[in-house]
Amino acid sequence: MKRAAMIAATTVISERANGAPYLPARYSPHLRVVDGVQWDKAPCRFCGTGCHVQVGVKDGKVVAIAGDRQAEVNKGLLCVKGYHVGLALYGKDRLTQPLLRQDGKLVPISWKKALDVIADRVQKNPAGFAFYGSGQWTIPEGYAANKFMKGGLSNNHIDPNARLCMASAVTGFLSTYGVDEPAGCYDDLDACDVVVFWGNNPAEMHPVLFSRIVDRRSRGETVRIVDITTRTTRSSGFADDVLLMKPQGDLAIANGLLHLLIARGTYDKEFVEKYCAFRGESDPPSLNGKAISFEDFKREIAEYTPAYVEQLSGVPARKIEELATLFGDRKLKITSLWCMGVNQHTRGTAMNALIHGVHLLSGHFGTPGNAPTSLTGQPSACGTVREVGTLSHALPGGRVVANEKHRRQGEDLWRVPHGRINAKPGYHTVELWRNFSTPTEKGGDIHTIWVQVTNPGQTLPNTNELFYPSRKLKDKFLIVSDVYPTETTLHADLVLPSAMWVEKNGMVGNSERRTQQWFKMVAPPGDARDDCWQIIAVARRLFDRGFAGMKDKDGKFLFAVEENGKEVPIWDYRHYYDVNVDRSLFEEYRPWTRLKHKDLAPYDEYVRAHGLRWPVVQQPDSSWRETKFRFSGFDDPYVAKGKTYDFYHSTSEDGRAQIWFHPYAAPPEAPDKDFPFWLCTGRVLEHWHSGSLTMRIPQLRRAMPQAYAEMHPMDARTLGVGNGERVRIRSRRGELELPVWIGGRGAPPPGTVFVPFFDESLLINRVTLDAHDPFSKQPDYKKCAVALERLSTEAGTP
Amino acid sequence: MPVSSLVVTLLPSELLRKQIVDGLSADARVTLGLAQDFAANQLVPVVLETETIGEARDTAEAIAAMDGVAQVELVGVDFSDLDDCGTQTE
Repeated sequence: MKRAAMIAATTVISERANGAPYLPARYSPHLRVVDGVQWDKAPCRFCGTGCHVQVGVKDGKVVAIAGDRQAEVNKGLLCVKGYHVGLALYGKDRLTQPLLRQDGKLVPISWKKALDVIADRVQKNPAGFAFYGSGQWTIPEGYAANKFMKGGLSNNHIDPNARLCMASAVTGFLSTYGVDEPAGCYDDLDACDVVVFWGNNPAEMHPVLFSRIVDRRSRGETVRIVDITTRTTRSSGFADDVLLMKPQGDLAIANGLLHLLIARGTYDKEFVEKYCAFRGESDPPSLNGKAISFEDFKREIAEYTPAYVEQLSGVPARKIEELATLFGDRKLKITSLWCMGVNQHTRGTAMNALIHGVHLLSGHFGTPGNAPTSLTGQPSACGTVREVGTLSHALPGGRVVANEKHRRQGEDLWRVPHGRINAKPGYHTVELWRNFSTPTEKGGDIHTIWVQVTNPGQTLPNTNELFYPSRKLKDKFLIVSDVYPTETTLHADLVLPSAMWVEKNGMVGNSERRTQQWFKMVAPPGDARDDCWQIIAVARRLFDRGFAGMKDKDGKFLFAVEENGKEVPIWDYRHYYDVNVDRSLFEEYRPWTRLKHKDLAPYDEYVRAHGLRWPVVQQPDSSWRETKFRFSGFDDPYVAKGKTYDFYHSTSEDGRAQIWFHPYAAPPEAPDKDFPFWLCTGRVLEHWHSGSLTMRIPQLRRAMPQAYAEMHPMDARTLGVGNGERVRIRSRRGELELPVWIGGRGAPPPGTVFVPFFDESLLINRVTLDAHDPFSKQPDYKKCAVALERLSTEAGTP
Repeated sequence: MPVSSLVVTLLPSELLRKQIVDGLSADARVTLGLAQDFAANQLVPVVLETETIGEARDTAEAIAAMDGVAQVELVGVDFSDLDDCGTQTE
């Protein structure tokens, strides 16, 4: 018997080593096996485009990636990052065990101890415990964190890194339509005659979407591209018109277009009279401002003549007039796209609203090809942050903590006692980290931050003020869940190894309101575990200690999951995949989504589909139908019958969208005699965000091995630097030494330098500014003042 | 005497693996087979001989709770030499 038992166990191990299925059984209709490779679908791990990939697994490892031809987003195409996404799992230095800092060193500890440490920090003072999350959180992860903090700890100090990338898009949508997220979708790119890029570089940042436009041209279609930018980029190379503007000039350009549409009488009078209202800034300032009349608006916009706009923006008046001519032609279908250039802006809310206003005033809205669409950078800034509400003022379903009715709704949906959700919004990101870096005795009341799926040590602005000071404060404790060592884990007190992408089940939501799902396909390395499990396990530790916040109103565990009438111990990782926790959390979350007409379908519909765009509503034949064009009667199921358009969340409560007057305002910091250059930061094609994943993919690292300072040849000549030579970039906040790249893929104008932020060895955010938009609280990474000094005469190509 | 066939997954820590192997080797009820690397982990076939099925279950859970053990999977239990399997099973 003993020999037979040993043979049995050894046989199982041998079979597993040879590729026998290793994972909990799952039903995926997309699963297929070809030549010993098991293929299944997943959205790409990287950007907010939401391309679908086919993931090939053999011997417990991802061995192949292919574009998914059935995916409506990318139709089989991937970008260079997407083709290599599988390699992101296999860097040599994956985090595999919990690590606790003791005597200055990170030492391995057990998960049991790690959970106790976190629970101790919560119980030290629940009000001073904060969560810093991410637009890379899956929907269930963000939902669990939100419920843990707001429904459990009665604490709203949870904010995401998407505060740094999308918050102004949110406030722009809210102030215009009364509800977040684009009305249009990627189908607009297949139908438009004109596409306007407002301060973004989609050729590098959203290359698959860019390809949709370029492919149409290669098939002989006419698609006119207008590129409004502060530096010429690869996108500019494809543009018919490049409007090279001074930083902040976009405010003037948008106002200039509004002015000309009215002055020329080419605005869509019928559309405006039926479907729009006008708003201006209030005193004191508020997100919804004050109602103004069309005549008021006309009076305010009058000064933005082409000559004045040229003075403010540096763009020749003629080009403003030409763009206004395009917008004034209702036969053309025009789509605007924007991303960080508009959102990372101290007037980001205003800028977003102005672009919406240009489309509404000109009637380029609501039919295929006519859309103002903000693009997201992260895979689930929409699906998790914006929809699940992991912001310090928000709840899921577009609810806000400051509204009593919303809190009651939330408490009922979460089955927690009334009064559990705190009415006071928590700290937004900049505030949160500034507070964490402030000594307790000086009012810094945040004692612990738990970071998941993001790298604030590299991505926060002005890190010398917002991040590093906290590391010298003994009573401030930083917990980081991540997959690789980063600048943030380097300074953490507790590091938790996380599973990533297809090492766990997941769901995300992309830029076009498309919610997507995937199943776990491979095991995480070592003792790395799902971020969602980590949250639930800490919650359970607190529950077992009698912490009232982790009980619902019936005294049950806040994250209880039952099967056949029995609670499944999902807080024990050995049982976490006994049930589908994602499905359980998602179905609990779904009722929230109907509150603001962002209905989601049942979980299993997303298993079957390559994503669905909400609102997804059930048809009489029980099928589920997605919505491509919101607020349009021909497609949106929530538009009242008989109406062509219906802005059913109108802030003026009359079914109208708001066209805003927002005046030009100078940036908070501009070049002067001490700091004579503009600094703009951003991304590159090969790397995503802080590079913690892509810099570990050899092919991508070789293609773009380090950051650089991109400058104009004239400036380089004046400074006396050649390609590859080093300069010091210095601001009022910090400095950094970098190699120079002249004549690279981007061309900043004289007086501007561009530095990408992906390189953890060259942390440009020590230099950037933390000034932010007054409503969205989103910082401006695109413009601050710096000085440049030549450092060495040694050449070296970046 | 029930004979349980287990697969024990060990985490990538040489120190913890040694502690586990030393601990299990000292237990007369346990026979360890040849370990095999699997990604970053190590899989070890283990045979457990106990007086009762309940003891087998408790011992397996105790192994799973050891620091450095990721999971314990039960391949099978041979209890063919028990007189009355129904009453012995817990």
